[in-house]
Amino acid sequence: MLNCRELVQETTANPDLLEGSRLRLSVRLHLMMCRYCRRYVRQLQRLLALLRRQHDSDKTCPPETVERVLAEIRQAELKQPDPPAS
Amino acid sequence: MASPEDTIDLDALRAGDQAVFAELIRRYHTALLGLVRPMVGDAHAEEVVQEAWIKAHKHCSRFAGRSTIKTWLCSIAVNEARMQLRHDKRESELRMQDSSGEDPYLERFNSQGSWSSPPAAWQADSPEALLAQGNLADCLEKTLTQLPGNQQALIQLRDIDGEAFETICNELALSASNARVLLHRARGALYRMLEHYEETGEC
Repeated sequence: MLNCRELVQETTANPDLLEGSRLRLSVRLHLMMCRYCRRYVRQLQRLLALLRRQHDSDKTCPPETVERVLAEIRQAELKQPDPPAS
Repeated sequence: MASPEDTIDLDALRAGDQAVFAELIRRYHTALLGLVRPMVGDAHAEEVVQEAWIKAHKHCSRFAGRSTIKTWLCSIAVNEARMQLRHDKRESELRMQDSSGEDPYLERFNSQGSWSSPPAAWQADSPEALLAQGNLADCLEKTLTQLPGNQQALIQLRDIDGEAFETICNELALSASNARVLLHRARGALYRMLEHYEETGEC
């Protein structure tokens, strides 16, 4: 029989928890009986839903940074041109 | 809703279109810096990401599209950071970082494995309600940027971007079991922050 610690371990490490992957029978049975673990999994899913909302908030960088990076790339490629294909 | 990736013209990128490459830099440079900073430190982060851009530029014609472009860029940056650590003979630091941090749930269970300190009910009952609370987004961001490199990469790529787990493991050269351990630690750290925030209203 799965205990609470094992349930937390298994659900927190489950990469597909938010996608509603089918949980193991032992996990589902434990969740039916344990309100604290039900609460934990619900809260963890809320955290994951919150993270998914961060998706579009990637911070862009200013044009001068882009220019600087591109200039360094050009410098590096001048110093070390691609070797001819063998 | 279209993902930001949808607006990158991959054919043009592979054909060497500099405007498309510049757009990649504009979108992802800050994220890549955030990713490598915990691995190599402030002093080396810019240099490592610059080197990653040089590699990406050199090889973008061969980008196969097996992962998203962001995952591909992240894997190049993480590899560059690893090379930097190897160069500085600091590889062991990376292993220590990855396994750093105690189990976030260490004190929460008794010897039988039952909750000794169970989760309390939260006021907010939806992601919207959670985000409506003051500076929670900033707190999340702060906790995320303090996670060790591979843990941060896993949260970024799996939980934020929704990339396939198997693809992430391949790109970051992590075994699935190791990646699960890191995911457990990283999510645990974020959960603990959120729980604390719910209790106190502070990060």
